Amino acid sequence: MWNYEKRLQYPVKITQTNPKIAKIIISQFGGPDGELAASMRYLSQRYTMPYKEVTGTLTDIGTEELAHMEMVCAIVYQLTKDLSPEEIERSGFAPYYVDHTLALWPQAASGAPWTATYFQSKGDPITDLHEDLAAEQKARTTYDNILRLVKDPEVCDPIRFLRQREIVHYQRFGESLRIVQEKLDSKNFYAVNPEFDK
Amino acid sequence: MKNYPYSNSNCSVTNNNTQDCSLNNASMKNMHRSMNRNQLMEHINQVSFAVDEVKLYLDTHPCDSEALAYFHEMSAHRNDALKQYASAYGPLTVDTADYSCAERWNWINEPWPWQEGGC
Repeated sequence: MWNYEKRLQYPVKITQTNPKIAKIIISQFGGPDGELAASMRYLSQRYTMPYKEVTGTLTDIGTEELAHMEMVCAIVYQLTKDLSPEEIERSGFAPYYVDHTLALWPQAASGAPWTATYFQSKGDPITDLHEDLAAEQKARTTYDNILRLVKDPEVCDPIRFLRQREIVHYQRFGESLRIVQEKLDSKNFYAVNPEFDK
Repeated sequence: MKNYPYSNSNCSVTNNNTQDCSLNNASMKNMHRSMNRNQLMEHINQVSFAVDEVKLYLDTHPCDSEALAYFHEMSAHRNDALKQYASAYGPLTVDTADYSCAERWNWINEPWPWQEGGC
């Protein structure tokens, strides 16, 4: 069960539209290392996770990623609000506009649609947590790449907040991995899969 | 294997945290009441972030009594500030919608968070 809270996790207040940069930032909505994939990854993996600390971490980080998705969408929305046909034409936003007008749709910066193949839910805690650690770093790199291209401080500010959260999540997943390993055979972590073997 | 502080999730150590968890002190309520709309919203964002952050930390460090005390403090602030915001400006959560004693359903009236004037 989820409840909606009518505020962003961190405020997004952008006064200057910029469709060029919106086309890049939308990757963190529906791209390979974006927030939608992050949320679906953790919220899918948690059901078979046998350790309560890790199940809690996957649930709570998966939930926070939904809030991040909303922030990214708010950024894209504000960067493309009330664009004129001329601005759309000039900025190279026309290929997106023709299919979605100014609505939000989960796609990568390249235009590739969001797909569940962006993440794995493997059913093995060591495997899944390594995927999660890598995912946080890939998202952090993506935000670093965005920050090299964005100059508007009103856009940089929430992007920096999101980048920082990737680092905190990486830390929590690292602790989760150590918790899992402590419960396994220290001579051979791979002797059993606690999500499958009895 | 090294015994990490978070390794024992059943908290065999007695929690000596005897602080009053209710923390519904009048000064906190007065502080929230004295804030204008923007100040109150900013305060909600800040204490909610503290709750988000310490919640994740507690998931992997469930026996950290200092973190737990911080959670109680920030959570009390968040809950009271959300009630105060609902009664003065409209609800941000369905659970505080009760506190805005309006004649009509205000949930849809205030701007959505991505819109101008939103949170």
